[in-house]
Amino acid sequence: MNKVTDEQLMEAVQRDKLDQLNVLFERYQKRIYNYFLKSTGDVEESADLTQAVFIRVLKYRKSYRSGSAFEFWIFQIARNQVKDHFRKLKVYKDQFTDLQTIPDVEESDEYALQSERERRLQLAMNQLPPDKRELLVLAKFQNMKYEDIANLRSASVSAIKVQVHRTIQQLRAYYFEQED
Amino acid sequence: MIHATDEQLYEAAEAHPDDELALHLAQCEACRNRYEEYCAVLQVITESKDEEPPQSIRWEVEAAIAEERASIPRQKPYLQIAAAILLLLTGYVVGTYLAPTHRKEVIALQSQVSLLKEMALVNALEPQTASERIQVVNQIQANEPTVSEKLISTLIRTLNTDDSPNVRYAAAQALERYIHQESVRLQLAASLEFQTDPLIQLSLISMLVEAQEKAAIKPIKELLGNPNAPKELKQQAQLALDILT
Ligand SMILES: [Zn+2]
Repeated sequence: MNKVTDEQLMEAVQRDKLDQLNVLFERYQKRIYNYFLKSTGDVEESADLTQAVFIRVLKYRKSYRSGSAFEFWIFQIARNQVKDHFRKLKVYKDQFTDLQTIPDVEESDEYALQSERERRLQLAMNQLPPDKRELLVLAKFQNMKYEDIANLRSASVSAIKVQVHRTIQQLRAYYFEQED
Repeated sequence: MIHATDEQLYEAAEAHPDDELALHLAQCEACRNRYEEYCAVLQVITESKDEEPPQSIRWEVEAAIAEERASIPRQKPYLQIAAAILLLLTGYVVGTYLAPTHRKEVIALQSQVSLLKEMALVNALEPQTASERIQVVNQIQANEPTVSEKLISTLIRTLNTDDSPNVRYAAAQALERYIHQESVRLQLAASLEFQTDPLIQLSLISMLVEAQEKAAIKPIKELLGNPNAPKELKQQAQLALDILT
């Protein structure tokens, strides 16, 4: 049918028809939230980051280039939020390393996962470096096309493919390590 | 025996092992175990469901939208649409349309959007940003004769045929900008003959008188001879006739 595209909605938002942002919010909030949740493993932080993404979309609406893919744009914003998050976390950890009290921020806020296996999966994912974890989330949980991920990360499709493979290999190792 | 690589095992888990690999897996426990581990991990990934985001996100975003909206001057959406069109049509200062007295026309004009859409004019309204639209307006002002002809005929048609008096009134007001063109004055005079709303009749009369348009004399006289015309309107018409003759 005649579904209004994300891009059309965003262009309306750009023209200060802010109501249209509610429609985009409905379309994307779950994806963005789960992207953060899987990337950070932190429920509260994921909620904060999600709302921050949409507020940035709102505030920076004029910088959206009309005609460009909205999904790409919003995930660019989301990715930057994740990077900021881990930068903050690193500073936080660095500060506390000296004191020998490293709070395990990533796991302190464990959320209720549907199954034990999912909980184990998240634990295994938490062991991946943030960058690899994010890649995995985009490729395997968001089911983003390799082309789009490559675009987002300014890398080649073949490089992304290789990285995803390696990350899954690593994930497998962490996942089954836990059994011991 | 040559064991399978992780690469092969993972790819097989994603799709299906080919015959050669399947044969190997049947014979080699080590590879089979790793293969099954890949299958298990991929399965958990596939099965893992998205969590529902907490409601608080929606509230925060809605609050931010409301706040942002309040910070935008002349935010009312209908005013924006109408103001953009009117700005284009008439070159009126947008601020004028925020005055309460003009609000009705603006609301009414909104219903005219569909009519205007028929016109190529809408293409001019398409550009996305405000600065682009302003450029369009400037262009139109620069190329006035060609563009406004289309606009004028739309406005005239609106003035003569629209169901809503408010819209007709707004169209009349918009046309005032082009009163220096003789063809516009003649069409306004012709329109006056069959307008029945006193407000529109008054506004047409005052425009035509101000423009010293003699073509208005005939319809004004007809109006004076109309027994159903309101007394006040007739007074104004008489005054106009005195000026014109
Ligand atoms: Zn083997």
